[in-house]
Amino acid sequence: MLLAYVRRRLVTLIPVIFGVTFFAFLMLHLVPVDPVVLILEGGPTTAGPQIQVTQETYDSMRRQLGLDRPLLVQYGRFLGRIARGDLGQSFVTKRNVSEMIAANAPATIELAAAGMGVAIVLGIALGVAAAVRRDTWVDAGVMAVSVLGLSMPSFWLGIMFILLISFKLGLLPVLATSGWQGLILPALVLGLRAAAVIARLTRSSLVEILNLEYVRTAWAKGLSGRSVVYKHALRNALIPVVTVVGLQFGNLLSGAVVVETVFGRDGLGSMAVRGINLKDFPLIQGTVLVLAISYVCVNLLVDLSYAWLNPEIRLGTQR
Amino acid sequence: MRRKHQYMIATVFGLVCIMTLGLQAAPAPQPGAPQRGGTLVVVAAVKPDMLDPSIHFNTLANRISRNTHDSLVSMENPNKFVPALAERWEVAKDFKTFTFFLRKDVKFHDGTPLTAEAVKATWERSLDPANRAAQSQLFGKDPKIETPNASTVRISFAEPHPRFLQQVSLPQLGPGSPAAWQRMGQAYLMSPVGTGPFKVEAWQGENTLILARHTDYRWGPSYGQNRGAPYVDRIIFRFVPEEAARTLALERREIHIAEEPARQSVNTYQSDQRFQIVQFQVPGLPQNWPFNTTRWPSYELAVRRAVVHAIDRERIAKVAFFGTVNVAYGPLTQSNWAFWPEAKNYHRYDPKKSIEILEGAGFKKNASTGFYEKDGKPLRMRLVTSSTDDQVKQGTMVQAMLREVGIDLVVEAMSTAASFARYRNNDYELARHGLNTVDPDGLSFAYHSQQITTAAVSNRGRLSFKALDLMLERGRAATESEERRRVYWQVQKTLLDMANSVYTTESTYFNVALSCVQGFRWNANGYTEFHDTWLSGDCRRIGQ
Repeated sequence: MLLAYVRRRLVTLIPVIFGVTFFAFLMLHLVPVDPVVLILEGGPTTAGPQIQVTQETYDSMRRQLGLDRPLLVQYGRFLGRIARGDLGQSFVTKRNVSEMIAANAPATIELAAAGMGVAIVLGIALGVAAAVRRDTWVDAGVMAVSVLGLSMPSFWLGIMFILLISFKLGLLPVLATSGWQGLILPALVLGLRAAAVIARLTRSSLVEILNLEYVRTAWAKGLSGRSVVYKHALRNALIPVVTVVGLQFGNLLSGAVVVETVFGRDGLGSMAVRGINLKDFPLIQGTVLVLAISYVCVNLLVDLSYAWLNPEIRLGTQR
Repeated sequence: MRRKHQYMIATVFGLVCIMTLGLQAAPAPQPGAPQRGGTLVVVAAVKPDMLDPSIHFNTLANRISRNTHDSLVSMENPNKFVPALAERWEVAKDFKTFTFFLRKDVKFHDGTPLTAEAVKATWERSLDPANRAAQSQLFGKDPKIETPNASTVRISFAEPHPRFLQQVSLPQLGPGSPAAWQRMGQAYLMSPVGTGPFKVEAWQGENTLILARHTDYRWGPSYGQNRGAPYVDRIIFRFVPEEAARTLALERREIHIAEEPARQSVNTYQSDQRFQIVQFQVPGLPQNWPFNTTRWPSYELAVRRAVVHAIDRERIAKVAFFGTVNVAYGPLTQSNWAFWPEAKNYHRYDPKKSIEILEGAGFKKNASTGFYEKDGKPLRMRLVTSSTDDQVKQGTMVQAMLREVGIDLVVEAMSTAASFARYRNNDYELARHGLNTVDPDGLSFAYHSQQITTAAVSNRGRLSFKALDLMLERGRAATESEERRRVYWQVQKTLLDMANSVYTTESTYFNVALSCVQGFRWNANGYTEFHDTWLSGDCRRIGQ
């Protein structure tokens, strides 16, 4: 039954791929910006004597890149390449897009996983503390901190962390981009916003569960507070939280763009930004496709985890 | 008790004095003789998308390529070339044929010898349409490359190409190892093999590049102090887009050099003995906003003259750039050898004159809006420019200055890509322009009528004057520098008389380094060279 469920969900990937790639393709081509001009003129970043390009060179490059063909033909070629597992060649770097994604993905996965780890651990811990101590200063404090976490832009937060923790206190290097030292601050910055959302949701969900009869029965039976909260109440309270965790993954991927830029880390985010600035069509389309598939797969894992959290939930046959 | 109190105060005061003296910045250490060893750590803002200088698009990569690839000649200044990989050369009187006689002791980083065939193969690689290299534009018309013997390269063109020596001095025409690119395939694009003082050792991830000393190197340009192998063992390039992270890392002494510090920090670093600012005045066409001469109101000479007299460029340089840049006076920068000194007397700030010009041309002020009008049409212009910090600041200041004289300037800042689209669609009254070029022939790129229909509309003023075209063509064809200077002076006068553009400021590149980094410089083309760089004192501990 589980396998059938997984198969059904994976089949939904096909319309997702079509939809995402089509809209990404359309948006790229509808914006009236010519990637060949950007490439030949050196884009927004040039230095040293600039080369002056003739119309002949420009026309020749458009032909070579296939940009002189009708849009549908270009899209069809792109789909044909995907079917063969080929994401094309970057206009700018001339490297295979799949190779570029493979080179940059581990750093983003590492950062997203660490950020998610921070978000889950911190968010659930704070949410539980607020729920268990509701209507006290602990509860008020956690809610206030979560509002701050939601409202502070990650760009600013990143620079403040660098200034305070690396520069003033000297606890971590400013520019460590590898190893655990290079992960702490970026993961904190990335995870804080999601932690705020998770904390608030955990709090409200747990408060609701703690008011249920079976929990009151557990208290009446004389079970310890730790046992009541963590063994009996929290697991049920986490079901909506798990849903949000899956949705937050998308936010983490977009947040990774900013965090990678601020901290100078490798990653899909910074690679995608460079591709967007230069309208590197194959790179952007390939990256969007990979990220969309990742997002769907993560949400699939989230859905599968419901059954583990609450055995009453049977996938597709819930009572 | 009172005496005890006094003793305490005196003691505390004495301690404070001692601490203050101890905390004062130590005087800058005397460098002494160059020392070998150490790893130089440089943090740049933008990662190059490709390193192979024969093919890459982004000239920022040349800041690295200049250190991995030598050219056949080096440019000491725009009118003086010195031997590099070529120990001598011959230029035909008609500037159609160039013959280079190569040194016989040069080796590529992979140990293979530099030969004429290698130079030919490199240039053919740039010319190959399959590689889509803009570098093909550096050659003249119909290039033909020959190798009469193993150390002689001859290139000839169908038309004169007086500027070819200058192009040859660029890293883009520096030879690479054919054996290496055949062996490495696509990997060569990010790890090219040249003859430069440093070789690509490795990439760590995607954002860290390590160069290592080329130990066999002994053919450095004569304008440098060091003709042999570089002093430092390695250079680590890190690519960090965020400026605050770059400069904080420098102040924490985690790195040696940070590129492009914030403008407001430049003066602070200059006065702090722990650091040094190394700057480069970019030659060529300064930052300017050409008027679109095909749209109203910018096609009216009176409007253009009124605008240029209403702008206080000194104030822009001081406020928007914290006094770190020069004012731009005309079509060429002051550092360009063909700059016309009389340009400084044009377009002086005089808002009263602006108003007189407008009223003399029949414009009337609308009392309710405060802006001038003519035949019911408000005097409004749109400046389409990029959304960089510099442009937005300048645009905002100029908007306020023009409002004072009754001109409505709408500043539309957007991505470079989007602005190019607007230029192509002729949907602007003022555009953004500027060009880094050592040769004043760059004026053709910006003002010849043939450049109106190019993909990025290089001639954004859309000027189409036969007389101007002829002057530019004469300047390009002339071979004597004095004659060229006269012609380009005439071009500048013509453009300034037409008030063709708002000239604001000249570009300057800044790098900030620890004061213990010695011998770090920009070359005449605006690329950083580390061949003479060495590390003194505790600079050698960084990067280990």
